[in-house]
Amino acid sequence: MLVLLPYAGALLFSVTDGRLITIGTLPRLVGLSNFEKVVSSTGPEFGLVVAASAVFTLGTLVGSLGLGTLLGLAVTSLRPKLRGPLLALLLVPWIIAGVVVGYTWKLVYDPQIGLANAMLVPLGVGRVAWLLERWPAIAALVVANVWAAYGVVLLVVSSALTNVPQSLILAGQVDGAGTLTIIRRIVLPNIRRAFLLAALVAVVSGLNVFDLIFVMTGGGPTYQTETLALTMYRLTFRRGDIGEGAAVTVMLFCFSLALAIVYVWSWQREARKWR
Amino acid sequence: MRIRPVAVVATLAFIISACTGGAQPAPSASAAAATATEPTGPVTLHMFIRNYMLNQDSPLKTAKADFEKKHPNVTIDLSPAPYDEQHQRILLSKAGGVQPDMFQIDTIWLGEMADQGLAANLDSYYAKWADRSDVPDSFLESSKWKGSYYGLWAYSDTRTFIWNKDIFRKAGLDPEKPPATWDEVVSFAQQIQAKVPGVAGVGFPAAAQEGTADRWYPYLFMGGGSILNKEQNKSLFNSAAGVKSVQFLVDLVRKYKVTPAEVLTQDADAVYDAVLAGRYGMMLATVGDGWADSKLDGPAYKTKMGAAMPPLCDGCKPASAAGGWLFMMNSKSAYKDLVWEYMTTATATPNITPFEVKLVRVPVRKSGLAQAEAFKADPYNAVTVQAAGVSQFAPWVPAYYKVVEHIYTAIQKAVQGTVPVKDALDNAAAEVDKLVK
Repeated sequence: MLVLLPYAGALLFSVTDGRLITIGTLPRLVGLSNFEKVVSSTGPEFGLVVAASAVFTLGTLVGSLGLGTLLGLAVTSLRPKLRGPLLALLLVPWIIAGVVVGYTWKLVYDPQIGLANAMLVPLGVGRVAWLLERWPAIAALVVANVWAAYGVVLLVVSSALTNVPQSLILAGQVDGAGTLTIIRRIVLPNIRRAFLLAALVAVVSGLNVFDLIFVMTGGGPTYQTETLALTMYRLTFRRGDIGEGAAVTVMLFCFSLALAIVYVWSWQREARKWR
Repeated sequence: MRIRPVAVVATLAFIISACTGGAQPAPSASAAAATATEPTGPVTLHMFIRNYMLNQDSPLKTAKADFEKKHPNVTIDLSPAPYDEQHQRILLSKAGGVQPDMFQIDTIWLGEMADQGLAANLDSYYAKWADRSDVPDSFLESSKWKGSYYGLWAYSDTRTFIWNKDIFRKAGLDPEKPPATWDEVVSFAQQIQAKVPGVAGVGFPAAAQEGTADRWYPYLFMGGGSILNKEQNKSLFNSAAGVKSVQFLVDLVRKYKVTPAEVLTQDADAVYDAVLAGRYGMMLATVGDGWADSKLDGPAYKTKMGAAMPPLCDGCKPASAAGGWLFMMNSKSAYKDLVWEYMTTATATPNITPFEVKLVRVPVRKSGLAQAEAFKADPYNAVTVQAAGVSQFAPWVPAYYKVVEHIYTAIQKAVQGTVPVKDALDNAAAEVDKLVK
């Protein structure tokens, strides 16, 4: 009930003309017109927002899965004495609040005093205005979000890695398999189910992230980095159109639900293989 | 939709004369507020206020102490919040939860709060209020919605041009002489960039925020432009004055390259911080004279930073923009008389002056404006006072939040170079007209 109630509320508001300034009064039912307004919006175009959301989410998925898995493999290859403290250290970005991560990376990307340009300038690369144009800004946001989100992948993957039978790895080594072959042929197939879970979490964290983007670009310039989560906030709290904001919430919920269904379906398919 | 005949204009002559002499007797806090009937049992009055109001005793903590002493059965609960949260929680309070008896509003929210029945009509209180004559006409007018009083002005603020004197010195410019014209802004900025490596000539906010429009308004107003017409049902910001002033911003970035395009990601606070830190030489407009945000004492600030009226274009007249905060009484409050007493106690001149001095705010009472001596600590008080005299307010129509989004997006598009200035403003004006017609 506690889980479903907010969604039910959002669903209800999405078909009403609810506005922040008339919140005390009963809103009128308006059918699907809020969804129509959101989809046909020209400032910004809905396609622009969806594209930004898709690229940001995909980037987060690939980046955090890649980084989390690599670090997971590296950590589990260490002696157990070192493994715990290092894992704890590597999980720090994941436990930091999104707002703090946002401000930190905003400073990193500062064209004048930022670390990113400070590293590039000695290499002969001119100062880059990271957050100014659409695609560099989205790429910069992805990097920041990967930094913030890889921890959950690392946690899931490294715990799965500890369950990979050492006998299989030893057998591979005896047969003369190299490290890459062992990872590709033995380790990764064994952690596939954990990988699926990590992927789902990474996708959802990419799709729903708000605070980091809000702090770093605010969705700008001119809506160029606005994702669905920011559209929801802008419509609800900046413009006060609760109905339209709720429509975006419902869309986000549907995307997340679809992903969860895909995950459950994939997981069950995997489980069947192991029976 | 109501007019926003803005301008602190009517106060102009008064403010200047008042702050340069002409002292008036300041009504005492106790005299300013009529005493409400003491409740028979314990009562808590909930006040939704801005977070910075509790950084010093004046005006709310001092008023609370006085009030609770006078009314032993009453407890004042001061609940602070940042800007956006304050706006949202007031609107959301309509739906339930803690009902504030009094709330603090930005002047641009007045129409919205009054229109929605959140704010109590204060006509009967104003009619009996002894200090009503102490409030300048322009502030009385801007406390009204559809002819009735809904707000009680607490304090106002203005926009001024600021510069970093250390950067001026390094650039070989006279640190005491700010640019007086747009051409000088460009030439000074070019000289800064030529002589001081790593420093951008001039900054202004251009992020996707209300402050982008707010800091542009003085440059719109100085050319005779307005945001909306007098009836507030048609856009005027796309006039020749509007195009000229946005073109100025665009030229600073794209033609003269004295402003980095990164301003598109910087809000007003970020640009101000960059000027103070010596990363920008100048800033086109900031709130007050910047002293309050610097954490420096008056003399140190004056050595490091300068403040002046916004530089003028050819044929332009001195202008600035003003904002400010009012107190409103909840229409549902069961303790209206007590709330009114607290509001008037808090805003009474002797009580609020220390706050106004510290935060470089402009008094909204004649007796406050007459306290030139009290404002001596502010290094550029004369500038903020001068700006107040030629300032106009942003509209306080209910749709202002949507209006301003179109305005700052148009500025962003123009600065970004994706849309010509005229087209950007015309497109925004067409959208705004739909909202305010």
